[in-house]
Amino acid sequence: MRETLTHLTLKRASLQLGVHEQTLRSWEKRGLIRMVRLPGSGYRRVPVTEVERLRNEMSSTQARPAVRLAPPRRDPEALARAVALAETVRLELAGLEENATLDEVMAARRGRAWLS
Amino acid sequence: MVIVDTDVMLLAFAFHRDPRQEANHRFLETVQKRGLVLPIYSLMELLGQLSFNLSPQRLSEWPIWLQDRYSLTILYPATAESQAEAFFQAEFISRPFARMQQYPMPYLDSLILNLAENAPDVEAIITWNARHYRNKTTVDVKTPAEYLG
Repeated sequence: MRETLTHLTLKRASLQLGVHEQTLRSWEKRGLIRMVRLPGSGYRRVPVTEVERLRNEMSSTQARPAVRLAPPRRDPEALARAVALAETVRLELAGLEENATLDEVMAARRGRAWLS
Repeated sequence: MVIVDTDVMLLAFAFHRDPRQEANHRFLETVQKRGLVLPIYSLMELLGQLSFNLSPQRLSEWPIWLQDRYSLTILYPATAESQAEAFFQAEFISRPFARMQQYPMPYLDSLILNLAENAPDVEAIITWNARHYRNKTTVDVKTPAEYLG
């Protein structure tokens, strides 16, 4: 009966994940993958569970996710009402810039400088 | 499609003395006929900001004064076949985290870029802060003034 493999060589793990061996070493340094060292030689071995975990994460990152588009109404009556209401909103927001500029508001929202 | 960021729509309603008003207005009036797209995350950010200055009633009318006024299509992530937990993990955690590891950026930027990159036929992302997005996405990024040429 064949033994279940619990650890892979670096080469085999890199082939299964489709990345270079050096990339796996770099991931290990950054704490992104857990490896074990063989007693004596110190060679790396990658737990199969780690390879499976990374494969799942990579596929969920790389797979193109679906999007949904919700279009606006396009009838002239709705547009006329929208233009009038937008003007009202503009007037209601007239005082917004008294406290901050657009760049300051956006910088506060995103946590980074906001300049053209 | 042309995707707009929060600042472009914020400028459409507020900051009337901002020097970019004229270019912003010209951009919106020109491009809305061809179809503008606003990511749901930008929409929520915009409404959050305006919630300090608009009544709850007015805020709830955004599909009229915002979406209909500028013929905006709202871009949502879709769950497709994935289950709720897997969708949540991918949309709000693993994809934005992978992006933040690749290019340091705020969480909201990563959500918006992920959504924009997966929309069909995206011509450009339009923001007044284009320089922060450039080289961090496969999509072309321009300011409204640059887009109008």
